[in-house]
Amino acid sequence: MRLFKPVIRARFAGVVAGGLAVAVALTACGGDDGSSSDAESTTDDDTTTVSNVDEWVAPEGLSGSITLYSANPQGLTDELIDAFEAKTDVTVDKYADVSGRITARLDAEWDNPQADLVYLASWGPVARYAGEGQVRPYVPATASEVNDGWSDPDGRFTGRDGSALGLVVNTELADGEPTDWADLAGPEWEGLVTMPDPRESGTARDLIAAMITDWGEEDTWALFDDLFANGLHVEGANGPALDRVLAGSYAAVLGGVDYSGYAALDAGESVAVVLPESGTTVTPRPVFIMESSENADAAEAFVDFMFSAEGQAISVGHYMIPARPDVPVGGGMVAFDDVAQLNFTWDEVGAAGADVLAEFVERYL
Amino acid sequence: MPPASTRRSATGPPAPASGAGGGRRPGSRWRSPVGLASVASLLLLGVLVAWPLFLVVVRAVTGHRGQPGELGALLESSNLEVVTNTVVLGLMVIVVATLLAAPLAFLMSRTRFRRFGWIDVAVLVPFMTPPYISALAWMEFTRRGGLAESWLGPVGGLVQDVFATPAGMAIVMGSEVFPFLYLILRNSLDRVGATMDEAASVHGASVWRRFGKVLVPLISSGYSMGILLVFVRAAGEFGTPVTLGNQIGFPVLVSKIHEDVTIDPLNFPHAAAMASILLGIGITVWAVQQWFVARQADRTVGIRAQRMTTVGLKPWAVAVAWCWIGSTMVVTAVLPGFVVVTGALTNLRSRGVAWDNLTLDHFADVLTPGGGGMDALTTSVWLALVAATVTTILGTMFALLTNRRRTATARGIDFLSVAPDTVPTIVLALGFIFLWNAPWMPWSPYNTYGILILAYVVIFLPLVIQNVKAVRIQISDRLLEAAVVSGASGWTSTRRVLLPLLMPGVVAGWLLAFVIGIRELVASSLVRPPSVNLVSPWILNQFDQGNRPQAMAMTVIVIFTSTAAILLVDRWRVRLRNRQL
Repeated sequence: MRLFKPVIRARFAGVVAGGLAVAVALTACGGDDGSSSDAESTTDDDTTTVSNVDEWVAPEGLSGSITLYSANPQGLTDELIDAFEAKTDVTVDKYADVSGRITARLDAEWDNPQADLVYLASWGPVARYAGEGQVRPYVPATASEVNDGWSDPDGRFTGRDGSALGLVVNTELADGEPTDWADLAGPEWEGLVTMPDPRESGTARDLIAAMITDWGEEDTWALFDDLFANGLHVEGANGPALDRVLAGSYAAVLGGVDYSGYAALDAGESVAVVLPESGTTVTPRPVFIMESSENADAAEAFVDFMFSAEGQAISVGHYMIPARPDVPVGGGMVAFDDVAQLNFTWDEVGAAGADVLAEFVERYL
Repeated sequence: MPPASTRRSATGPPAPASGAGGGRRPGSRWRSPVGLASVASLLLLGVLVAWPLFLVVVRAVTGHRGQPGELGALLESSNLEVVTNTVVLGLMVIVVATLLAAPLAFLMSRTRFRRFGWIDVAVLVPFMTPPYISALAWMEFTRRGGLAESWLGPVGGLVQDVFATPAGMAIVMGSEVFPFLYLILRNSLDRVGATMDEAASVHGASVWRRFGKVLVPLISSGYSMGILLVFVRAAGEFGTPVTLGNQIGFPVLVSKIHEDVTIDPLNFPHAAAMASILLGIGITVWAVQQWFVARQADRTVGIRAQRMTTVGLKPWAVAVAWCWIGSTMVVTAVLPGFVVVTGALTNLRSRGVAWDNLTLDHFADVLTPGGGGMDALTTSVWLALVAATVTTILGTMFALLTNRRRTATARGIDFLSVAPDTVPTIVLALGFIFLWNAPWMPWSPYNTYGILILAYVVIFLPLVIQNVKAVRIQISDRLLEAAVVSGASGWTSTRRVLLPLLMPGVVAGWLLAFVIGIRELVASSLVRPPSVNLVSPWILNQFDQGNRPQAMAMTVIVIFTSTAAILLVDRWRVRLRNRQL
């Protein structure tokens, strides 16, 4: 099964180098410097997407400012903020960093929270904050349309876009493309596969936990026994793992985030993204409003905007899988419903995470 | 005031006791202002340093937001390994830093190599490089299929093997901190004039004897301050441990702490317990160093105007020296720099380093107005300027107040001003949030630029103070006494005698603070107000988002900016020194 073909290069050619990147990157594309250009250029090149998106209309009377703590990628967040600010009188102050440092800051500010809105790349901490009463329940206006399993059952927070984990393959080094996890245990992949360290990468840890939830311990560990017997290398977070593959130290990442792969491909790198047949995870990136928010109206409006067709299209422009199935993905990306997924819930995975990690480390690292 | 006249005016004219320098003399009528200033300083440090640290450490006992305390963590059996690793790594870093710094300092202070001013600047390059970057550069160099393999063949394999050991970590970390040790040693050497050495020589001492019995003892106090800081920094810096260290499975206290505070589920109480162990190690090392300096008594120099000594080098020695300088530069600057520059210029990662795969686009990306990169750079530069200046003023004051005073207040000041380096900055940054974001705080700089300046001041203090102290300890109090006898007021003797003599240390401290300020990562990430862009968080976020070349391009720009600033200051510093000596 070949889910992803290099054809995408031509389609996305108008989009700028490093599409998931900083707004800066936009200017590199022949003087095109509108901040909304990512979504638009996607539209130009691929008629299936985004062109007739209904514009989100802001409710009247919003003002003041809100503080948004947002995980990467920042190009996406910046675009959301610019669009939202253009439609309202609200100023959005953004604190941007990797999820780990954002949670560290949230925890440190526990006694006197400063954020109104938090947009993280992983489910676990958000579920924890919700359990501890730090989250102001809010169901976005269009919540009924989001992907299965992406809404908190108690209506406190919702995943607004996400990324599938897959195999990102360096096509110059690899002999053919794998179609499933187990393929990488074959002799042609010996010593050529790397994986993000689940101690550093929450998505990698969730993947293992989801496999165990679906397949059971025995089968899952059997798979990893084979992979490690074949020289599977574990190192760093998602970024470095992909980098090692682009640079040619390894031929494939196991459990790489798809959007980085798409972005690399779009930049002209020789890679392919493969989503394994036997199933994987699509990690939702949840957004929630802080219980302590003093401008909850504006925060709620921002969440609504994030879930509007317009806001969702911005995610697609950055290769993120949208929360709403009715918003089409860009050419080459695999839509949520087309991803073969493991059978699990995020609560199960969250609960099992720590034990699974401990066992994984004990066995292999 | 022309520094050139300092010495002469010092031995000749007026003055009562130096407010800042002469606190040692009991019964001096200036004692009480000194005491007052000391208490005020101690209070200031209490708020700036002790309180935030206390708020962290206390969480080991009280827990944090519903999580219980983790005092039990102190008894974990794995701690023994982790603590041993921490100490071993610290000692190895001292060895590496000394090997890199000492020969260079000697050459630049005592031989005609001093005319190569560029060496002084080149030495600082590793200091200008944002943390992580040199570790990443080395990992890139030694990765499978990387440059080490393709250029060096079997030797490359050897390099790979070395970097897969704690020694590799020590080399990376030693390269990062050696500039600091170098500046302290060179300033110490500069202050040891020709006379003592010549006296020994006249009395027939051999070169080695002069080295062992004259030079080494004279600079040992300064050196001990340098390695104190090298050790605590090595114990508290997490860039290399969480990259290289995690990769080779060499856990140290910082990597444990980093895991506790950034990887879900977070566990602040456990981090606090680990941090208190680090703090304990820091206190111990500091106490040992204090004891050592106290034993060194008054072996000071600078009573009379000094001439610079110049050791003549034979041609073979010059050749060896060049080789040594060359290797030092290659390891600390050239090689990481090469990786960074090629990374910044490389268009497609999967095509490797090749002429037709080069582009300048990434620099354009970074420097495009409105993209955050330029904004981050300017903000970091002005914050670093302000914070370095404030720290230099405070640090010089603290250093003078504590000089050779044995009171509890002085010891308190002395310890608190080194304490920020004994814990990882991430712990300090959390403490800053705990304190300055506390709901009961009536007014707080939190969420303004003020909090960054405050945090930077605390982080820079140890560097500035150690630099000033290393110079101060060599200045004989007799100079000040002479000023007092001649009727100078405390202020006059401080201003006209002490400060000019201290200037090299003060300037070196300012320079280091400024350079670190531009590229500081941890506090910059955690306590920066929303919507404020700073260089190092920006670079790291670019890496995180897969924009490796942009991150590398920004690194190059930071190094060039810092170099430009240093060139300006260094010219001034050299002029100052030449006028003085």
